[in-house]
Amino acid sequence: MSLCRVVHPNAKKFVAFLHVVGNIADEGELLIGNDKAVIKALDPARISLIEVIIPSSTFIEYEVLREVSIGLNLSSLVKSIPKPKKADKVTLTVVSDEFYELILEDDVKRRYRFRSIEVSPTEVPELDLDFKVRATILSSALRDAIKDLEGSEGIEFVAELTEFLLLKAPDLNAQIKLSKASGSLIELDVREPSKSTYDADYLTKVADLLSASDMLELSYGSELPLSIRFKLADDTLVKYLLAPKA
Amino acid sequence: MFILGIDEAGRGPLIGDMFVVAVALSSDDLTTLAEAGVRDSKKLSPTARVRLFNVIITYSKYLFIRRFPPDMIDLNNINLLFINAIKSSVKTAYALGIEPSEIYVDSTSNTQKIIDSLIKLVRKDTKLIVEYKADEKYVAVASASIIAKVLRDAYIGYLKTTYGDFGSGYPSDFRTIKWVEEVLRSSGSLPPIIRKSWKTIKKLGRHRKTLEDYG
Repeated sequence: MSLCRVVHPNAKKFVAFLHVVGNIADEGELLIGNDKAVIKALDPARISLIEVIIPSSTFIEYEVLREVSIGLNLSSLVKSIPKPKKADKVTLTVVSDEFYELILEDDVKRRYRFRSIEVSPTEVPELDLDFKVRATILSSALRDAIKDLEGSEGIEFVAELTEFLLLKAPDLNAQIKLSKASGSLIELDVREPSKSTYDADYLTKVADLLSASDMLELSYGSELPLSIRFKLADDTLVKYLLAPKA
Repeated sequence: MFILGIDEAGRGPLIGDMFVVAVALSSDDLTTLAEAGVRDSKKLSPTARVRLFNVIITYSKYLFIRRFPPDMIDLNNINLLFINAIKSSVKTAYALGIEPSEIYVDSTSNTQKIIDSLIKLVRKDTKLIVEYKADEKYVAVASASIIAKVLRDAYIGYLKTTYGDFGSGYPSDFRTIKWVEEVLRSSGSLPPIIRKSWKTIKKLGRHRKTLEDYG
C-alpha cells in the first residue's frame, strides 16, 4: 500500500510548476500533508525561495496515509518527463520513503519512477520582515514589466507616493510605472518611501507563472527581500521570496 | 543570386568562445531550407539543429566561421569583435568570387555601427539588412544561427568532458555560478574557459546577503 496517492487534473500545469521550481534549484522538496501538497526549493546561493502550495481540493483524488516529504531531483525530473498535453492528468504516488511515481494519462499511460533524494534543508529561519511597501498589482502588468526589463543587471523598485510604483533598470536606461491611473496598480500602501534592487534574472524565473494569475501581492522595503504572492485559478498559491542585490 | 546571412552564438555566456558564422546561399534554396524547418536556432531542439546543420552545409555555397576565445573577449570589446568578424566574412566572400546581392545580419545593440562598417565595404547595389532578431525573420540568418549554435554546443560538450558540468554557461544559470564558485574555492584561480572580464565574475568576491541574513 502506498503512503499517498494524489491525482492532479492538469498534468501540464503540474509539470510547469516543477519546471519553474527547477529553474531556481536542482533539488527541491515535495511535502504532501493532509490538506495540501507543497513543492518548494531554496536556490543554492540561498537568495531565493519558492513555494507552490496546492490545496487538496485542487486534486481529483487525494489519499494520504501519513504526511510525507520527498526529495526531488528537479533537473533529472524535468528532463525525464515529456511535455504533457492539456488533457493529461497526473497521478503522483509515494510508494515508500525511497521511491515515488508519476503517471501521465491521456490516451496513453506513461509511468515514471524516481528515487527520493536527500536534499539540503529548504527552510530558512523564521524571517523577521517588516515590509514598508505593500502593493496589489495586476499580474500581467508585473510580468510584462519584468520581461521588458529583462537583460538588466537589476530592477530597482521605488515607492514614495501611493499612486504609483516605479521599476527601474538604470543600465538599460529604462523604467516602468505601475499606477492606479493606468489600472496596473490596484492598491499601494507605503509606510515609508523605499528603494531596493533585485536581480532581474531571478525575477524572470517566476514571471512565466504570473500568466496564470490575475492579481498578486508584492511587498518589500529598502534593503529587504521582495515577497511576491499570487493565486492561480485553481487556488494554487505561489510564494516567492528574493533577497536584494548587494 | 547569393544571399549572405550572418549571426553569432555565445555572446552572452561567461564560459567559452563566441562563434560568428556567415553562410552564403542561393536565393533559389531559401524556400527549400524554410520547408526543411530552418528557423531561429533558439526555437529548435538540439536534435533538429543537428539535422538542419547537415542540410544547410549541403546547400551552402560559402561558409565562414570565426571563433573568439575568452582571453580575446577579455581584452577587446565583444561588439567590435563581432563587427570585425562580419567585415572579414564579407571580404573573404568577395575574395573567393562570391558576391552576395543581399546581406542580412542579426544585431543586438550595434545596428548602426554594423551598417556603417559594412556600407564602406559592400558593392554599391548590395541590399543590406541589419536588424534585431533577424534570425527570426530571415532564413539566411537562421541558417547562420543554426551553424553557430551547433558548433558552440559541440564545443561546450567537449569542454564539459574536461571541466565537468558547468550548466548552460550563462550568468543567469545558478548551476554555472555554483560551478564557478566551486572552482574558485578549490583551485584559487579561474580556468581559461571563463571570461574574467564579465561583471558576474568580478562580483563573485563580494558578499551577497542571503535570505538567512534576514532571520
